[in-house]
Amino acid sequence: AKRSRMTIKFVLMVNKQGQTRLAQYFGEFLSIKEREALENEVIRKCLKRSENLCSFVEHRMYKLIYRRYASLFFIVGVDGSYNNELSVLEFIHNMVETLDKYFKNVCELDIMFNIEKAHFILEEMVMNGEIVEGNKSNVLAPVLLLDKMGNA
Amino acid sequence: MAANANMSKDFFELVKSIGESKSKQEEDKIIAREMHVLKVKMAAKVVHSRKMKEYLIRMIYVEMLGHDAAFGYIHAIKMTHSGTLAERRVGYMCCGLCLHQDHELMLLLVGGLQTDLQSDNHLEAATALIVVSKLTSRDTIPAILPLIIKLLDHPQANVRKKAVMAIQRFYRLDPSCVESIVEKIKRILCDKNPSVMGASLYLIGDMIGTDASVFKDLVPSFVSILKQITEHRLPRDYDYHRLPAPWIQIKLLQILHQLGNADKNASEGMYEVLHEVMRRADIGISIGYATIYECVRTVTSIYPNSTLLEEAAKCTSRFITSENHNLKYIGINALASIVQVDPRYAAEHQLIVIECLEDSDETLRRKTLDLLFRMTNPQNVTVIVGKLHAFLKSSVDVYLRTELVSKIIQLAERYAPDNAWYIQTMNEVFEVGGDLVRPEVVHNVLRMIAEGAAEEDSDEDNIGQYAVDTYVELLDKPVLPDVMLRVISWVLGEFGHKSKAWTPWDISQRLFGVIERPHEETSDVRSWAITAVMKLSHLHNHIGEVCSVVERYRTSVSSDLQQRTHEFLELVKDIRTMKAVLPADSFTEELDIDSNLGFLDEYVATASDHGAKLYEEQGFDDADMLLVAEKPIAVTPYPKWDQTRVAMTDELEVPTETYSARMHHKNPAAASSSSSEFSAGNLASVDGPWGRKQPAAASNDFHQPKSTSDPSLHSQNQVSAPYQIPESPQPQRNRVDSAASVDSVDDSPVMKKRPTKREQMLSGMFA
Repeated sequence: AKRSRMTIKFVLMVNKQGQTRLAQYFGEFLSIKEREALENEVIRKCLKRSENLCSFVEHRMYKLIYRRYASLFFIVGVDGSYNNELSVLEFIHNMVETLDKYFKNVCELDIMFNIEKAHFILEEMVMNGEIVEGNKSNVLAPVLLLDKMGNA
Repeated sequence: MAANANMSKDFFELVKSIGESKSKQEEDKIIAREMHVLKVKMAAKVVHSRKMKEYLIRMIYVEMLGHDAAFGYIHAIKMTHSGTLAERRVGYMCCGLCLHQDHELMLLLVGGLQTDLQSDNHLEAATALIVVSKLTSRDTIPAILPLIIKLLDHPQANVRKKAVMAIQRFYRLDPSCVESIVEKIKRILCDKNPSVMGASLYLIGDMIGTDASVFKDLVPSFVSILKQITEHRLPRDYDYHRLPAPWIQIKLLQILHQLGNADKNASEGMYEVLHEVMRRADIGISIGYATIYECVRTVTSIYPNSTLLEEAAKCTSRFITSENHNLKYIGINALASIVQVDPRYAAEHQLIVIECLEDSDETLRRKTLDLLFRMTNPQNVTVIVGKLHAFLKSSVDVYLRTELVSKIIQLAERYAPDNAWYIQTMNEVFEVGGDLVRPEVVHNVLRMIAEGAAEEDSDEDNIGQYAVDTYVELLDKPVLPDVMLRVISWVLGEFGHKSKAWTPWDISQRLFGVIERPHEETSDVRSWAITAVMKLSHLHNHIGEVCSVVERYRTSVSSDLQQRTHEFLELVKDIRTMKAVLPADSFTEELDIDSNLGFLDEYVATASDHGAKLYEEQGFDDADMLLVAEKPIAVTPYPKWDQTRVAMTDELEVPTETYSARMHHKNPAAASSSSSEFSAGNLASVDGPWGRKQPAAASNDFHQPKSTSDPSLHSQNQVSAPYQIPESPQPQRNRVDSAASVDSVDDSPVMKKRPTKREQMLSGMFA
C-alpha cells in the first residue's frame, strides 16, 4: 500500500535579493533557522537558472516549481515523488491571479503591507498540502466577508 | 490598495525600512530593534486587541526574516479568543505559522477550537478547521473528531469542505479514526457543491492507497463525475482559463490510475472518459497540457488499451518535440511511463532523447537519466550504464549521486551481459560512490562472484580468477573506499588460489599492504584483510612472516581484531587443523555445526567416570524456575523472615566471611571489644527482613566454610548475615570460567556446556 504523502511542502514568495515576503509550510516542522537556510538555498537555485529553462528544479528531497512575477519569485516545494509539476505551476498562476483580483493589480508592496490577507487567501487555497480550491470566487468569499465585517 | 489603513505608523515604518534595507546586517538591526519594541509592548498590562493584532503581524515579520519571537506565541494564543472576528483570525493565523503539533502551548488551543467548531458563525468554524488541519496531533483527535464529523453536514459548503480536509489530516495521523464513517465519506462524493466533492477526493485518494478494494465499486461514480466536469456542467466560476475545474480533473485521473491498475474490469469502465478528457483538454494552454499529461500517466498504468496508448504516444511526441522546456520536461516524463508499457515507442524518439541528455538545462538532463533507466534492456545496458556513470562522476549533489548509484547497481544486477562487465561496473561504482552503497549490495556482489565461481568447471571466463586478477591490480591505488577493500579482501582470500598470474604469497603480500594502511579505529577493513591472509596462509611457505605481521594486532583496540589474531596464532600451531578450518574453495559447502558439541560426548563420559564433576550452571536453576512459576507476581506481601527465607538462601553462594566477621578482621580493636554489640547494634537497626536478627535455629543452616574457625564468629551466628552478592568463586566450588575456550584442555573439572556466543562466532567466521 502506498503511503499517502502530501503534495505541497511549502509555498514561498521571495524577492530577488533573497528577502522572504511570505512563507507557509505544510507537513514536517522546520525550525526558524532551518527555514532560513532552506529559503536561501532555494532562491539561489532559482536565480541561477536562465529564463528559457524549465520551471522545475530538484532540490534535496523536494521538487521546486517556481515562476517570477515582476520582482517576486513564487516558489512551491512539492514532495520529491510528485510528478505533475506543470499542474503546480498553474496553481501558482491561479494564486497570483487570485491575489490580483483581490488587490487589483497586485505588486510586492501589496503583499508586504497586507501580509495577513495574503496568508488568508493562501490558506483558502491550500490545506494539508493539497490544492483544495481552484475557484477564485470561493477562495475570496470568506476573505471579503471578513473585510466587510469591519476592522479588517 | 497598498497601505493598510488600520495599522499604525510604526507598522508602516517597519515595512518601509525592511523594503529599503540594503543588506542583511541592516535588516537584522531593524528586526532586533523591532523585537525589543514588541517585547515591551506585548507585555504591557492592558493592550487593546486592535493593537495586539498589529503586534502579532509584526511578530510574523520578525520570524519570517529568520529571528525567534517565541515571546509572542502566548499572545497569539490569547488573541484567538479575544477581540473581533478578524482579530481572532489573525491570532489563529499566527498560531498556524509559529506553532506545531507537538508544541507545548498547543494544548491551550484545544478548548478554544472546540468552542469555535460549534459556533453559529460559519466563519469561526471555518477558521477553526484551518487550524485543526495544521496543528492537531494524534492525541487531540478524540477531543475534536466528533465535532468535525458533525460539521460534515453543515449548511455552508465552505465549512463542509474544510471539515473533509480536517478528517484527512486525522486519517494521515491515525488511519483507524475513519473506520466508522467510511460510508459517510463515500457519500460526500455526491455533495452538490463541487468544491466539497473535490476535497473529498484527497481523503478518498489516501484511503485507496491503503486499500483499493473498498472503493472499486465507485469507479462508475468517479467516471461519471469526470464526465460531467469535462462537459462543462459545473458553474462557470470553476473554470480556469476555459478548462473546467482542472485540479479536480487531475485528482480524479490520479484516483482512476490507482483503481484501474492491474484491474481489467475497472479499467474498461474508464476508457471512454479518458479519451474525452484528453480530447477536451487539448486547447493549447499550459493547464490543458498538465491535464493531458495526467491522462497519459493514467492510460499507461491501467489495463492497456491500444487506442488510448496510441493517443498517449501522439501527445507525448508533441510534448517532446516542443520548443518549450516545460513541455519537453513533461514529454520526457510521459515517455518514461509509456516505455514501461511498450518499449517500441522509445526508438522513435531516440535522437531527441539523446539531445535532452546533453541539454543545458540540468533538470532536463536528470529527467532524461530517469527515462534511460526505464528504457534499459540487455541490448543497451552497457551504453546506458556508461551514461549514468558519467553523471555520477561529475555530480556533487548527494541525493542525485545516491539515486544514480542505486540505479546503476540495479541495472548491473538485472542485465549484466557477462561476468567481467559486471565486476568492472561494480568496481567503478564502489570506487566513485562507495560511501553511498548499501551494505546488502556488497553481500550481493560477493555472493554473485562466489556462485559464479562455484558453477564453473572450466578455466575460461572464470569469474573467480578474473576477479582476483583485477583486484590485485586495483590494490596498486593508494586510496580505495572501505567498501572496495572489504570486497577485495574477501575475494582474494577465498579465490586467491585460482589466479594464474599471482601466487598466494604475492597476494598475501598485497594484503599486508591493505592491513598496514591507515584505518580508522572503528573500521573493520583490517579484520577482513587479516582473515583473507589467514585463508591463504597454508598455501605458501611464508607462514612465519604472516605470523609476524598478524602478531602486531594481538593487542589491538578492536576486540574483533584481537580475536582473529589470537585464533590465527593458535591455528598456526597445527597446520592440519588450519587446513580443516580454512579449506580452499569451499564457499558453497554447507557447514554442519553441532551446537551440542556432540563430538565431546565420549571425552566427557570418560572423564566423569574418573570422578570429574559435571558442570552446574549458575544462576537461574530449576528451583528458582519453580518458584517463579508458582508465584509469578507478588500480590501478597512478602512473608516474614522465617524458614522459607532460609531455605532459599541455602542454595546460594555464601561468602567465606560474614559481614561482621570481615569488619572484625579489618578492625580488630573495635571488633574484639564489642564485636557482638557492634554487629548486633548495626544490624538490628536495619528493620528490613534482610537485616533483622536471625532466629538461632536458622543460623545453623548457614554454610560455614572450614577455613574460618574463629570461635568469635560462631557467637555471632545470632545475627543474620545480610545477603550479599557472592564474592569471587571459591576454588573448590567448580565454578568454571565461562570464557574458557573449548580447545584449551586443562586440568579443571570437565564441563559440558552450551557453546558460548564466542564459539558460535568462531564457527561462523569461516563461512
